[in-house]
This record gives sequence, C-alpha cells and structure tokens, in this order.
Amino acid sequence: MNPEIARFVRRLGAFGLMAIPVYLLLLMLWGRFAPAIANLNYRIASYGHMYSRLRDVRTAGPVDVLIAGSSHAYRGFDPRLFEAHGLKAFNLGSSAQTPRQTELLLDRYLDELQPQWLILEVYPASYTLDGVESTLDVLANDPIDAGMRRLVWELSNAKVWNTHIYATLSRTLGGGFPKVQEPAERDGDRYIAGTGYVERAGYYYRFDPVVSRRWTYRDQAYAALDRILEKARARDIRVWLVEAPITRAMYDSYGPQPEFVRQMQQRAPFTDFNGTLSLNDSLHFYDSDHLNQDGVIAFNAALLSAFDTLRAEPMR
Amino acid sequence: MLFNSIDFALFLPLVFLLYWGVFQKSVKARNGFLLVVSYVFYGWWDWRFLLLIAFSTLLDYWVGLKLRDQEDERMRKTFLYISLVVNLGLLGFFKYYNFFVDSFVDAFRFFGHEIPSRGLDIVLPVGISFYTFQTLSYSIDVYRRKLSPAPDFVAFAAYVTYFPQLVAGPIERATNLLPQFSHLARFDKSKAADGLRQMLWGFFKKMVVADHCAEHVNLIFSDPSAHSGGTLWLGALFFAFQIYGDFSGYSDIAIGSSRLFGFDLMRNFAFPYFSRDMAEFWRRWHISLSTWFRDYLYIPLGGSQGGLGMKVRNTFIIFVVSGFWHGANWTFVFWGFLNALYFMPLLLLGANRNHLEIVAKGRWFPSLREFLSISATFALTLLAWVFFRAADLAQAFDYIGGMFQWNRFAELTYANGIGAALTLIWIAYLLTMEWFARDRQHALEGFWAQRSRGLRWSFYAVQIFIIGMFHQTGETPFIYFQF
Repeated sequence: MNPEIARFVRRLGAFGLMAIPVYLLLLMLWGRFAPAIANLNYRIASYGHMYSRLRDVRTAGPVDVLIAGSSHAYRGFDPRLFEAHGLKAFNLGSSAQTPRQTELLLDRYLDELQPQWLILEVYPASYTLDGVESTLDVLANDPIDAGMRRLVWELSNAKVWNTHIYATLSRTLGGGFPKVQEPAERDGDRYIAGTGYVERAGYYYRFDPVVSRRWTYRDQAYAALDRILEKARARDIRVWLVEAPITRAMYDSYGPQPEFVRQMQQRAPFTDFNGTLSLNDSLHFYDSDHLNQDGVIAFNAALLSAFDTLRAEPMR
Repeated sequence: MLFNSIDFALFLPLVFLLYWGVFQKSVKARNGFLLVVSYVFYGWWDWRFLLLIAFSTLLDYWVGLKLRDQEDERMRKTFLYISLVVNLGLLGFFKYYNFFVDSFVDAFRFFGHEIPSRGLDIVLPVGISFYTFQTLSYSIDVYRRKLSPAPDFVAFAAYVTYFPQLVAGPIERATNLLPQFSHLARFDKSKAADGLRQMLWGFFKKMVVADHCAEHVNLIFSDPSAHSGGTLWLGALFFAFQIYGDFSGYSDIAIGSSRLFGFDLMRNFAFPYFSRDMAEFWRRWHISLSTWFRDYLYIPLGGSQGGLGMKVRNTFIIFVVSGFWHGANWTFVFWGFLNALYFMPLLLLGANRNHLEIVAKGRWFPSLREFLSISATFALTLLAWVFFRAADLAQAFDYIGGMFQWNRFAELTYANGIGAALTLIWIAYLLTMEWFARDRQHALEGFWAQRSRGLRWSFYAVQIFIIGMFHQTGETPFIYFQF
C-alpha cells in the first residue's frame, strides 16, 4: 500500500483511539445528569415495575403457569386469581415486549421457574415493533449477559447501543448491578410483590378518538415465537397463545387480523378474548388498551374457565 | 444501501482499503472494481433495479459509439432521439404512468364521464431520475461533439453507476466525471481528510437536523386543521430544514465519500438559505439540476437570447418541468410554477444576476438590508415548500390559509414543544456553522482545518457524539430517493 495511504489510515486509527474515550466520557457525563434523554434511556426501577419483577422472578419458581408478553400481560393476568384457582403463576410481562425479548427472558428464567404451562400474551402490535423499548427496559433492570449482547447487536439501534455501553460502564465502575428500593405504588399502579403483576384499580377509561391503523408484521417476530415454542416443546411445557382484551374502540381501529390469527393458530392453541368476552370500554379499562382491576377480574374468570377446558385436552 | 446505515459503515472502509490497496494497478482494474461495488451498493435495495440500469448503460454506450462513427447529421439526430425516447420513456413509465392515468380519469370525471382507472402497481426504481439525466447528459454532449465517447464500456458503466452519487446526485455531467475514469487518481491525503469532514457534516445535517425536523413535519402536516397559524409556520420551517438537511446532507456525504477515492463531484448546494433573492436561491439550491435544465432545456429553447416573451416562456417551462421532475403530483408542478412567479419580477427588471457574490463578504454579519432580503427570500421559499410537502393541492392551500389565520396565530397546538425547541437549537447550530463558512465548500472546511490537531480532533469527536446521541434512531431514507 502507498505509504501516504498507510499514514492516512494510521492517522484515522489514532483519531479513533482518541474519539472513543471522548465519546465514552461524554456518554457517562450525559448519563449521570440526563439518563433518559436523547439516545440514552437508562431508567432503572421505573414505569412498569420491571426491576421488582426481575428481582422476584429469581425466587418465584417452581410455578404451574408462566405468563409472558407485553403490558397487556403484566397488567391483565393476575397471579392472585390463578392462585385462588389452585394454580401457582408468575407474570414475566414487560412494556412493549416483543417475542424476541420474551425469548431472552425465557432463556434466563424458564429453567428456574419450571412451568407446566406457558401463557404467551400475543398482541398483534407487538409483532410489528422493533423491540427497542422493551430491550431498554430489560437492559436497565437486569444484569447484562451474552444473550443481551446478541440482542443489542441484532437491533443495531443507537439508543440501545448507548444504553448498553452506559449500563456496562456504570456497573463496572460503580461496583456491580445497582440495588434500589422500588416503591410498590407509583402513578396509580400497585405492584403485587412476588407475582410480577401490576394492578390498576379505580381508574376508568374516558373515550378518546382512536386513529385507525394498519399493522405490518415482522418475520423476525414470528421466528422468535417459533424458537420459543421449540424451547417449550423441548421441556414438555404446554403453550397457550392468548390475545387479551382491549377496548372495542381500539380493537376496531385495526379490525380483524386474519393473517395474524392464521399465524397463531397454526403454531399453538390460540384464543382471542376480544371475540369471546364482552367487556365495557368505560368500566373495565383504564385506557384504550389496558384493563383496570374490574376488567382483570372479569377477564381472568373467563380465561381460567377456558384454561380448565384446554388443560383437559390432550397435548397437541 | 443507505448512507446512514451500519451496512454502509462497513462497506465504505472495506471498499476504500481494497480500492487503494489492491485495485490501483491499472485503470481497467480500478474501473471494474468500482463498477462491481457500485452494483452491490445499488442492488442492496433490490437486485431487479440492476437490470434497468444495466439496460440504460448499454443503450447509451451504444448510442455514444454510433454518434462517434456516424457523420450523417440526420442519422446522428436519430441516434440521439433513440437515447432520449428510451431513457425518458422508461422514466415516464416508472415514475409518471399512474399519474397520467389518474389525471385522465379525473379530467373525464370533471366533465361528467366515469371511466375506470387502470393504474399499475409499479415500483419506482431508486434514483432513476438522477441516473437517467446523467446518461442523457452523456448522449447529448457526445451528439454536440463537446465530449468524446467513453474509451471503454467498463469506464462508461462505472461512470453511470458510480455509487457515491448514484441514487440522489449530484447529477454529474459526463464532461466533468467521465474523464476522471480514464486515468488513475493519486491519493491526496488532504483531499481525503476534507472528504471525511464533509461527510461528518452531511451526517449531522441528515441524521440530526433533517430526521428530527421530519418527526415534527409529519405530525403537523398530517392534520393542519388542528393547528394554529404559528404552528403551521413552524411546520413549514421544519420542512424547509428537513429537505435542506436531507438533500444537502446527502450531497455532502456523496461528495465527501467520492473524494476519498480521488474523484471530484460537482457542488450541489451553496448555503441557499442565505440568498438575498430567488434568483440567487436558485443558483445555490440543487445546482446540478438547475444547471442541467439550463444547459439541456433552457438554452436549446432559446434561453435569454430572444425577446422578453421568450425569456418569460422559457423560465416558466424550466421551473414547471423541474417541479414535475421532482414527482408525479400536481403539487410539484405548482411548486415549480410558483417559483417561476417568484422569479419573474427579477427577470423583468433585469435584476436576476444582482447577487453573484456571497452575502456580507469580508464581514461577520449582514447589514440590516441584507438581513431583511435574506428573511424575505426565506419566507417565500417557506410558502413554496408547503406545496412541495402537501399531499395534494387542496391540502396545500388549506395549510397556507391556516398560516395566515391571525385570530389564533399564537395558540399552542403542538404537544411536542420540548422536541421542537431542541430541533430549533440544532437548526440554529447548523445556520451558525454554515454562516461562518459561507465562502467555503462546506461548513467544516477551512476554519477547523487551520486549528491545532488536538482542537480539531476534539471538535470532530464532539460532533460524532452529537450525532450518536441526538440522531433519530431507525434508518430513515433520504427524501430525494423517491425522485
């Protein structure tokens, strides 16, 4: 190679060696004062009670039923109602969780929890998301392992990269994974210790016009679901795919999703409770797509009844 | 392959190292390598696009040879027409077929006749408008005997598909770019370093300024009736900087990355928002397209040689055609027409070449008069950009009507106020940097190059941090790809 080019490449390399520490230094300073602004989102023990859930999951097993999925899961499936029905359950849902983050969490905790049943809450929108929001939630609230590093690489998103780097450095320099005391009650939410469940009682949905939308599903989401089912099968865990109820207004904004239903039905037993359960938008929800505690009680009654029927059926 | 993607971040250094390390043995090897990597770059979107560009390349190479060998002027003209008809025919089919069909259907409906629409589901090949004009410039210049035909097919194909400028320009003239494929370039360290600086600035403009502006623009333009006049002005302002940051950012990355390989592309933007009148604006905005229309349409139509009537007619023609080039929608046609109207007073008063020098030359700040003329010119472009961005003419007129609704002008109707304020800070930063570099090729040329290495490198590192921390996450395609 021409010596001038070699010099240029060496100079570029030297610049890189100088720019990387500058970037890291600025990132650490930024994270210290504004950890959740711009392309950094390191919110530990924050909205959704993920920190508490991921502390509780370590001591929750073994369980009969493990629930995973989006916020519809951790706000819609109440393990106390399962308990009253004679089933020990844990809820591993998280905000905007896509099948890829479900897979990551199951890789971490499935063997500890040893469930007989896995109820996967499947919301069509979760199959359209890039998974950034949910990944940031897990990144901030759980130790980082090789599976997380793989996911960060897969997503190739600056916000995820920055948060990953910040989390790694701050934990390395700060003496390990942070221990905080997360309040059980926050902004109307109440975390139920030991269950993973977040209760919202006494709030009612006031109708807001909902913009109609169309979903574009991601093949990667279906692929992640397939891997989850494969792992469950390998452990003799039975799986039920459940679409939890949302308000009629929200459900009608995207209408029936025959392609999504077909994809679900060909993989595992699937039930859409929007079609089988009649709830009132104002009385049973606190916003356009989350149940309040009254709604959860009504939904879980129907869910557990259907679950009894499903359990009686031979394994598919 | 998008410039603002991980793919390109891996592709460019690899190509750079192979280019200088392996393929500098001969012109043929170098051109062959550039051709292959350009096809990889372009085929990254959709390999089927390669068939079209290969066909266009073959056709124009063949036309060039025929024009060289043919002495008979009628036959030469026939070959030129073949190139024009086929290239413009392909462009017309892929870009304008559905527009014409829908316009006919609408016209018949207007007169009370319902006819079924027979639109086709056509995928518009990325960058077709750009490379079509580039190959046309070759055929026309060879026809005019201003240019010798390409020495060999590989050199010509590499010229047509040269990846830095393939999908969104600058629209290169064969007379400028093609000769650069006939000899080996010597590596110039300062040119390559300045290319990197220009790329850095281009990435900032695209990823931080344009993409943040886009977020606000999409929300405000999606429902203009919900917003106050002040918010609609803000939406138009954001769009002005979205399109500027997006397109001039692309051009900076294209020109900068090309300089890494020793190729000089033409300048495409010269700080157009510091223009004192519309004529100056059009000398500084999308220069490669404006000069293309000047050389291949305006001058053949008679240019400004005839009487006033001819000048006026030709000006309207090039602006309207330029508008139509941007997209198959009446909004673009009207945008072109409106710019022609803006241009008219200057043309009629013979004042269209008043401002050939940069503004406030030798001074730090503009005079009050200069400041007012820059502001007035910018306000006119804002109104025109509304037509460029709107979904249809009705929405554009409603939007502009809303901008002048004084009774609720200052009402706060935009929820993301903090996001908008942050974006305004980035716009102010962009304008400040470009103002102090307005006598240079790009914002990071010159001033920073003269500082100590420590200071320069610290500045570049901070600039990289700004991009890393503040760019819109997710790959956002460049607006001009659709043209």
